[in-house]
Amino acid sequence: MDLSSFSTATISVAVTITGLVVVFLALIGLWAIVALFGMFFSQKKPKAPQAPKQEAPKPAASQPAPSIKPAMQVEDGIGDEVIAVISAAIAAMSGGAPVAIRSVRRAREARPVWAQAGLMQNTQPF
Amino acid sequence: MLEIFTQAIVTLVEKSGFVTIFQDPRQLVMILVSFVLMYLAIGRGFEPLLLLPIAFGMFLTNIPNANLYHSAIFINETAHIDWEMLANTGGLLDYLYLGVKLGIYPPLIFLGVGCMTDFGPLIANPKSFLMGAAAQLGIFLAFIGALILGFTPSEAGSIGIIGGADGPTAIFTTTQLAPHLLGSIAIAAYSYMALVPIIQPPIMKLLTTKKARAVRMEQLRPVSQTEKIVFPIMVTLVVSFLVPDTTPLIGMLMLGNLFKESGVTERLCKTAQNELMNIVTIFLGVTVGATANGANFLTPATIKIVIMGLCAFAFGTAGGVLLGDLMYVVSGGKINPLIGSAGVSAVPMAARVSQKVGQKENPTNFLLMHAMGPNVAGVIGSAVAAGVLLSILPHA
Repeated sequence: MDLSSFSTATISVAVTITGLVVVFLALIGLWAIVALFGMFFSQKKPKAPQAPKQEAPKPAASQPAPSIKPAMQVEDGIGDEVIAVISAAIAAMSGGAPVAIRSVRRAREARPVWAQAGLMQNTQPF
Repeated sequence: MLEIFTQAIVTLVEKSGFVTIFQDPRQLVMILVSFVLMYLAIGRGFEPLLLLPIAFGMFLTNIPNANLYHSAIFINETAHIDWEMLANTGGLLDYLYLGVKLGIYPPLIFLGVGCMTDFGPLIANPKSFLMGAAAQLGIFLAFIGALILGFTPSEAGSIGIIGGADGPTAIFTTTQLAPHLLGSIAIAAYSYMALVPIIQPPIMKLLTTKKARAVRMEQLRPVSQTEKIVFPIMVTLVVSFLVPDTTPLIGMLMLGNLFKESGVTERLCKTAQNELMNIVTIFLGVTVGATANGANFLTPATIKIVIMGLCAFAFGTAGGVLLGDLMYVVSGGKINPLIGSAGVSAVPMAARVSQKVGQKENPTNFLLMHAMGPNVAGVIGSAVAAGVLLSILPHA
């Protein structure tokens, strides 16, 4: 395109506006198309039917009698084997001291150790 | 016998660099500059894969009488390659430079980049496209700045594209618009890319609130393979139809990505992202460095380019973060504006910077994958911006 007949100010404004409009147009267009595709293709896993929550009685904090063993409150989806492993790990770390596991639930805020290791590796250069 | 020997020695001495270097001291200065760049690449780890070949190319081209590169072959009144001169006087780097001049190397680099890029975070969160677009603001503001500093529109466009923070795109554009500035622009672009962790954080902190920086974003949805396969084809179709000048870059980027995602061309993908890309990187780096001779590098223009390049990066970062701020407000505080700065491309460095700055506010926050969305959108955005500049501005 011959721009020699235009002033610097005109060229500045015209190229900037054209450039930004086209860049936004292209990427907004892609956003719309990708979002549409996402609606069609996203693998939305059907939600598992909610199992009735275990109505375990909550042990009172002040209950002194250890003979009445309160039921352990376990979150759905955690198998007996996992409970056993967790209990064994706690027992091993506590050095034989008597402990009572009151509830087992997933720590949602925590990131899997391997994912954390991967992220650490990725961000290590700084 | 003795006379021949004496004459041969005299000729050798006269032709040696130790004597002729003082005829044009600029070459000596350029050799020293190349040593500084080699130090930055080796000692400080500044984009070494490209800065080291660039620095050594610069070193080679400034060795007196070595005749490895002749800028007159490529930059002359006709604006075309002087094939006769190339045949008669062409040196090693002249022949290798053909790949830059003819626009072959940058798209091949993009092919490898495509093989290594995961567009999943962008597909999962397509709103990231907006940040990738906003971060191109730096290109156009630096373009205006360069015009004000007295550059021609084509030169200003080449300087502005530094703000795309994308080496191959900058080289591809500059080769066509202002080839005489290629050395300075490539060096500025790659140096600033290495300095992204220093340039961006102050701007990001300045334009965001503490509360917004600490926002934890929802986990991205899983993306199906079908989406990942359709994505490169669709992007090529949309972008190339809209801005045909950018097809070599976008086309190769997306071909590489299709190699990766299709799952049936593993061998091609491995070659494109390893051997081919490494070979092309060597050729590209050495020849781009070779264009930086004293006559066109040691000028006030280089200082202006360095300044405008910094402005381009800064404004690009600001554009992305400001759009991030807007999206933070519109989404009701669900989007962390820090991921906007990753829209300047510089994959994956800029995304890592978002992660790092976010983690400072909230150590358990992981923004890396969220920032990869704007980051790869920035690659597409800067290629589109380059296409616009190439279609509007007069070619050299």
